[in-house]
Amino acid sequence: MSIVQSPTSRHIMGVAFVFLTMMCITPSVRAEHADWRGAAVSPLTAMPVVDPRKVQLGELMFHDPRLSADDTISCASCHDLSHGGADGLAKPIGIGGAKGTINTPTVFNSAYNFTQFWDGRADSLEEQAAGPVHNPVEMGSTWPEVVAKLSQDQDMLSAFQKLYADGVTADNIVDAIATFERTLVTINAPFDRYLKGDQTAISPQAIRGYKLFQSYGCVACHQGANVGGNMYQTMGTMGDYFGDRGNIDASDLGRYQVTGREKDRHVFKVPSLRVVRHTAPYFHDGSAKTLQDAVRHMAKYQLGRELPEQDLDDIIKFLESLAGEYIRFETK
Amino acid sequence: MKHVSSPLLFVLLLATAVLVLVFSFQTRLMDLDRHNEVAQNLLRLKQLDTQLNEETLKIVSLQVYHYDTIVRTVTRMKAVSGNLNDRETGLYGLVGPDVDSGLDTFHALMLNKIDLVESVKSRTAIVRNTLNYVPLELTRLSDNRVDLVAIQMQRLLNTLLMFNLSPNDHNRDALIAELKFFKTLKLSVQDRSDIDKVLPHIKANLRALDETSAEMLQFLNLPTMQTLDKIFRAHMVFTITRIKIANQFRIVLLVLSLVLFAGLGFALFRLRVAHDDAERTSRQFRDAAESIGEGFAFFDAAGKLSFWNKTFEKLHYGVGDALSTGVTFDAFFKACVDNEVYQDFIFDDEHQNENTSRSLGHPYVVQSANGTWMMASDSRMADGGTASVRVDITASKHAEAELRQLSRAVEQSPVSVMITDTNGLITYVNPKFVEATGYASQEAIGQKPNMISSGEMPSKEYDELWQTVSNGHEWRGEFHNKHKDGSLYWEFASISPIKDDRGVITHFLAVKEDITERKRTMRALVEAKEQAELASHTKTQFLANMSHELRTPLNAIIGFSEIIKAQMFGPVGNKNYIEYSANILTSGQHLLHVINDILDVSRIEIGTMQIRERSVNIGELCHDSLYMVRDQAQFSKLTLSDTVQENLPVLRGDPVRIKQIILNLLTNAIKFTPQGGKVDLEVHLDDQDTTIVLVVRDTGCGIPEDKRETILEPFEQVSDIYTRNHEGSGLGLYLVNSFVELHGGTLTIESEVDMGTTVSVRLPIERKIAAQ
Repeated sequence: MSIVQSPTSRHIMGVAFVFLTMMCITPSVRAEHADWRGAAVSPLTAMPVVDPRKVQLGELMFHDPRLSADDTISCASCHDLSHGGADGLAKPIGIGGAKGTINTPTVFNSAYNFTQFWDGRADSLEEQAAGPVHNPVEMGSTWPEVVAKLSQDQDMLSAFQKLYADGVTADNIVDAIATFERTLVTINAPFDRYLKGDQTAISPQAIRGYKLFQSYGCVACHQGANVGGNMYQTMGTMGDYFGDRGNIDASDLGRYQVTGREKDRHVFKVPSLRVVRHTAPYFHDGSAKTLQDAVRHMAKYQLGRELPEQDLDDIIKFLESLAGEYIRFETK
Repeated sequence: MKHVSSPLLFVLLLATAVLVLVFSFQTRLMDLDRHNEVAQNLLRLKQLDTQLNEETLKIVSLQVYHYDTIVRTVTRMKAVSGNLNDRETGLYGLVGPDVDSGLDTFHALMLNKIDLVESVKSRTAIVRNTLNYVPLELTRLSDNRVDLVAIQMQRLLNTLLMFNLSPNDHNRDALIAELKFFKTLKLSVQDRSDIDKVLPHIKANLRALDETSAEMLQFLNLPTMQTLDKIFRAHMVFTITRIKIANQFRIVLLVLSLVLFAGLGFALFRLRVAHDDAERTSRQFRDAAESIGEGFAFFDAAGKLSFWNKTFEKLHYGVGDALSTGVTFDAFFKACVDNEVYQDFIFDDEHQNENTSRSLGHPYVVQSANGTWMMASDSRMADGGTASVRVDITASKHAEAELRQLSRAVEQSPVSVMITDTNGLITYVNPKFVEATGYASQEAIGQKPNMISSGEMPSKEYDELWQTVSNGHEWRGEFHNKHKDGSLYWEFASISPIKDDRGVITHFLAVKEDITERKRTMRALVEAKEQAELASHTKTQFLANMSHELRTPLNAIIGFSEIIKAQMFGPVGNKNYIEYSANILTSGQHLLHVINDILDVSRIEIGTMQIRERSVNIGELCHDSLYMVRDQAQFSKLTLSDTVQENLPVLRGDPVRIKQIILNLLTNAIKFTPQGGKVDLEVHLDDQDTTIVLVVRDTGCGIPEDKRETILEPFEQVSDIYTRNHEGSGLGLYLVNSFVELHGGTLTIESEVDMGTTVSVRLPIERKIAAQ
């Protein structure tokens, strides 16, 4: 016992412990009791489908290369559903082999993101869909062009006319795509099953990883059902990530590009970790080749911590348990 | 309808127009659904704003572990705000520029607020992690150490926690002081390394907390709620004002509606009245149309048959289905022609067409196959309809024909016909009149009938004539008239008044026959007859005288021959004298009988026959009579029978004449009945006990029918043949009939040739003796 502890300091320590109990212990205790409510992470649920026909049409659109200028690139070209909803590249390749400027985020569970794009410049999936179409290094097209091309397709024309009074329009195309994208939710992840009380759904190591995920403070940003995707955070809160990496370009400015405010420099949307096991390489610049790299970098630059190998493995095991299954929406 | 006053109609239209205007204005004025939605959205927004505040405060106070909730709140807030800012369905542009700028302000404030929330979220994550890491690390480093460094570490931790609990300037300064202190603090390499790992976390905490504090200050000072309240209040005021105006409009609307309804009611009432009027008029029209004798049909403006009366239907019986509502005039007309309801068209000359079409407005006459004549007229009405009138003129056609016949009859009559008016002026004479009088009809017309008078007739008779016919009676009489050439002639005239339907005399008709010749003949005849009658009377007188003169010597002949025959004064020398005297007697008696009969006839003819009336026992008379004829019957080999009723009443009459009747009848019967025949006398009282009936039946030659009348004339017998067979003067039945008539009785003869004759005499018991 410390002899220098004054009553005041004792009191302060007591208060601090109340804090700690509130902040750290309560979530894990709750998790163990298989009650995620009030916990930082909650199971992912499927979104309700309003119109199955639009899902079907949206899927067609999603895979339709006519959305690009030279009919080579579809949404699915980069958001490959068999590849974690991303392209596996550090930076995407657009029409004519154009090099993209920012890493492709997964389309899976994107409906649960509070904003779209790394810098959160789109408030909705509908808004987002226009981005790549117009991006010269992605699809490099325009809506009038796309609409004109699709309108020549009689099948497409009648498919739209069946669902939309005004037929093929930009709004209707993105509506269909967004509707489809809302079905791209990976549910029933092992971790979700664990959250719901199945203690054997994930390995003890993953459970341990989850606890470390919380105690290291990853969960401060990667929380909620989507384990991220619901807030912004500065890249490098506890270290000079960009200084260390070098070659800073516009895509590294993050929300600064949207707001122009200094405080938003290098601020990015915290990405969801739900299908993180499938979406290497990581970060907006695709600089982290592996999940180990990514977690290590995150610990260093965001938490100001160094992780022991064992903890790293545990956390990765946990992260891997976050990915659920994508069940393709079948129209009856 | 004209009397449903146009002012009223105008007022109604005006009210309706105002109503429509007010309605449209009011709907523009108050979209209650939209206002409700807006109000709800405003309330929801206020609620979400409050919620956002609470959740942000919870985040700042580290009470939440994930941001899904606040993200949801922010999303909803954006959505609700977006709804409010929608110019079509939201509040934007709905109330006015104040509210619009308020909305703009709020939107900016909200984005600012969300921005601050995002900042706070990021910072709080840092604060949370530093608070998570630093105390544990410092505690771990200072654990089991009782040196100054450990104490300093504890102090640093305390200061950090104090600052985190209450991030005021004092606590910050203390923390900053601690940090500076640690920078300059001399430490072992290990300690320095450990401390340097912790210090950035504390600095991050300090920075994040500072920023959070500043942002929270901003956050809490953002007047979102006040702005919302302002908007809400403005909207409420606006809504209430509008509702008030709307209520006023509603009152106006109500009043207008009442006016409209009252007007409509009145209009409907007037319409109803007008309708009733129209119906009454229509009914009257129909009744009138039905009641008129003429056929009437009406084709409307479109040329379709819309009405016809019964007479019309009757007249067009043959057209069948063509007479039905909706048939066009032309089709109807064609059907009439096809079905021979219209044939034999007679047009006015000037309107005659080559075919059977008709000219509107000009009457024409048609005859239908069944002989009905129709006067037809189809006239165009003002509204374009056609009124067809069909008059059955068959009767007048017939009357016309009849009249023509009559006229011809009069014209060709063999008698003179003259018609005068009531003033006695001639208006018509027929050709016979012209022939009879020598005056041409032009000469006669306008003259008085006395133009042909010979002037012989006394004026008194003319007065009588005039009196008679003026009283409506027929006068018959003769005129002696003067021909134009001066010759005189007789005419028998029948003058009768001609009356009209009301019985007023309008003309006089004189039908006159020239009787000059007849009159001459008549006069000759009368003269001849007078001469003949005179001769007859002389003859009868002569006969009576002669008979008397004849009878006197006959009495001597009969009386003396009877004396001789009876040899009253001694026997006659030769027997032959007896036989001769018998013959003389018989002949004398016969002659006497004949003379007696002639005498009777003469008496009857002169009218000097008298009946000596006394009580007569008819049974006895019959008995005597039968007795008297028995020999004669036996001689003729006849069966004579009698059925005389017993206890016959006593008859008043002349027994000699009655006996004569019976004897005559029996004698006649015997005389005209061949050998082996039967003669029967039957006498009985008739059913009424008032008449004695004598019936004599024979089986004789009978009387031919044509003789039955003349047989009762004197000197008549049935035929010459019989005359030869049957002797007689032919006076018998004449006398019998005369005697029966003198007794007030009747004689009837029933007879059949070769079968027999039955003569019945009926004598009244209480008879009136003929006044002789």
